[in-house]
Amino acid sequence: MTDNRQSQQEDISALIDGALQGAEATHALAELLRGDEALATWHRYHLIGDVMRSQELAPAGFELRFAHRVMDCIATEAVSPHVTNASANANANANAAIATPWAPAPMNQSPANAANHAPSRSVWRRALAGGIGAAACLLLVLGSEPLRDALTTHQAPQAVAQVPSAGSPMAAEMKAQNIPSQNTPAQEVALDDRPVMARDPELDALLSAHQQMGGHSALQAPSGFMRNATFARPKP
Amino acid sequence: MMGSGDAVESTDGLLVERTLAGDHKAYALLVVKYQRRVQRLIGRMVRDVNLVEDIAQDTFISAYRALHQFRGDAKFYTWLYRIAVNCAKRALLDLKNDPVSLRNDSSQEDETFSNKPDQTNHESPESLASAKKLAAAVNAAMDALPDDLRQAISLREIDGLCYEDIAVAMGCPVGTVRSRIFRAREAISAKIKPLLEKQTSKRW
Repeated sequence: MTDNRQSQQEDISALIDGALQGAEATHALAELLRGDEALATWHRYHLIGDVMRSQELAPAGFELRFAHRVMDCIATEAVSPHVTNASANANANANAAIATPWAPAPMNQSPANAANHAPSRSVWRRALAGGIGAAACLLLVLGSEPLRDALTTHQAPQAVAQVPSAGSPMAAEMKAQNIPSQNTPAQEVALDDRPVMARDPELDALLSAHQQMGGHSALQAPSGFMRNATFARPKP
Repeated sequence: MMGSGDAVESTDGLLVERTLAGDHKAYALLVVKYQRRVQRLIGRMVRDVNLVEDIAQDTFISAYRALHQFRGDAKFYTWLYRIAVNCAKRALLDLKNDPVSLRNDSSQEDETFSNKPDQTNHESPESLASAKKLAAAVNAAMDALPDDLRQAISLREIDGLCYEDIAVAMGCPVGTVRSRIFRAREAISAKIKPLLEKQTSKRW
């Protein structure tokens, strides 16, 4: 054994026992990571210790094959220790064993980490409420002929808004948006910067009659409670 | 003075840091170091030897994915141990719920089922013989060591003492302890290397 190689082997032995610190440890580790022979030495030294402590730990087969398989899997899956979108299996197992996050920040904060943070709930709620509210106010129900006929008798174009039943989630959202309910008398409803809607009592009566007759909207779904709404046209 | 446990943890910590810095080979060193213990642990929970290696592989991959969450103040093997246990439990649960294995499990239906050990759940005779031979070679090599080398490596590997404590116990400098342990390992390595190479060649 050459002096250099012997020195390297001795460093590996000391590194295994945690007897090297600082720059010495870093240097020894760098040498260890350089070649397969050093890995084989690392493997043998650890194997000796394990077998000395327990005969059960004596290996039956080629052990480095196992390590190669693990590392091949890691390389094939392009798994990163920073990425948390691993399989549910792996995550469930790992997360079950983990109490709190690593104290020092990782050297490379992966963008995947940031991407994995869910947007705040308030952002989602606002976006959803706004969308539903606008949709509920501006939804046009133009399916049935009697309804279409009723609409064409009026000079001004009208939009009929289908208001959901009181207990539905959409009703709750509309309430949140300050959209008037069934019992509110005809009035203008301001919807952000959209044209103001006004209700026509005559149309209300026609729609109510329609509801009693068929009760279905153009979408072939129960119409439930219906209201009419009219866009107020700007005066020329 | 760093205790023996702290000393080893510092090496594991170094390997974890290197892995997180992007050096996959550092993780391979951790796998090589702990694979036997992990497989033994899993083998005590799962009878089917064919599954042990798969679950062990799953364990190391899970640990790798979660490495950034590893607390630096906990022992790495303690953390790895819990992951291994969870992987084994999950595998057992999957086996239990697998309709195919339930259908093929004669113990559920066969009135004549006996408690004879199933040969397919154990390692092959050849594998067992190979492991025994290796263990015997380590023991024989230990017996053949000079007293000072045998004592130094025993105090380190079996009693878990750090170099400083061994130096006190043996009445010699730390440098001498380091040298003796290294020479003991080299002597034992020389005896088991042919056996390990034989296992390697059988693989191919």
